[in-house]
Amino acid sequence: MQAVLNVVPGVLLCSGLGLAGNMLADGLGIGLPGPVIGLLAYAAWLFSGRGIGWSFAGAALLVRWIGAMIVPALVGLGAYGQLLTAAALPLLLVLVASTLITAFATAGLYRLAGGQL
Amino acid sequence: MAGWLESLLATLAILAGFAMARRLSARLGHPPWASPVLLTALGAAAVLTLAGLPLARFEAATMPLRWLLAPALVALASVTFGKSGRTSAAAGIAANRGAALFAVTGGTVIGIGSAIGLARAVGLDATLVAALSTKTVTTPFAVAIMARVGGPVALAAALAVLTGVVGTLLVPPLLDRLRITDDIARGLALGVSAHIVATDWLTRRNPDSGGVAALAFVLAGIIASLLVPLLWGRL
Repeated sequence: MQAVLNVVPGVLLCSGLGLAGNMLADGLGIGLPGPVIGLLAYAAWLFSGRGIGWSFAGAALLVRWIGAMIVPALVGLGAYGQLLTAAALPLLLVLVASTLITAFATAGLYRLAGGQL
Repeated sequence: MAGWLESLLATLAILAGFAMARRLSARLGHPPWASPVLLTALGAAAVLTLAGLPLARFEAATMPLRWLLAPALVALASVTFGKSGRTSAAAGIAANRGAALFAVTGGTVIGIGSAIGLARAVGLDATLVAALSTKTVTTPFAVAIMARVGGPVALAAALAVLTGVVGTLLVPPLLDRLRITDDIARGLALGVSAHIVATDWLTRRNPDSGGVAALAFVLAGIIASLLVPLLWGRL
């Protein structure tokens, strides 16, 4: 029971920030996703260091199960079966090349900007 | 069956499936290809096919999980923090803050640009080009961005997961070959290019570098959330 009570504040805080972010994004008519606004607010709060440790247990629970929350979206992939089959090879090539370029560029830019190795 | 009961059963089934997939992945030694997310999705798709259940019914029943994705994305801000409440990556990055921010910003922009550019160059369908625009961010960000701009959510989610798996398999050998051995540079490169899958993999081998990767994939997600909606009409 205590374990459940420990996670409730953090889950409620993250849910509230997500909802507030959505309302703000809709109200302002901006393209930034609402939950990202909520994340920015939570990050700012965390970085301010003003006693928000009580939220960690709930946040950690949500992060631990985040993979399960993605599953419903992935299962919807079946609707694109034909499109994916027709373009499988070039799509895989683009995905691999772009991933390697991104990694190389990130490490290279870090060196270029004088990051210590 | 009542709607709420079907939702409860579907949600519990996905959570149980995910817990089992995580256990299987751990038993196999956490290889990137045995991603618990992929294993659970494949299992759920197989059950739907065998039972002949329509996708729309499954989507309606799993609405609670979709709803929870927003608070979970908010909670990702906490992954850059240690248990002490201080950033786990801060100690390593403090002296190189400017260079790290420059690298993550540039890497994310190049990641988005290269995916779109290469996809167009090989003549991929416009839907695939759009879905590839978020491949360089972790799946919850990709889903949030696509939901916001009205893009192909399932396709973008799948490509983001696949990028994480492919990147975790291929990027470390690339960095070894280029003799990039520094913890910060490796953490930044893996965090931006292969996000949460690589961060999980890296954290098991080198917690310091994993902390840097966590910070990198969250920052990359924020940058892409700002950038992709601006590019959306031009993709």
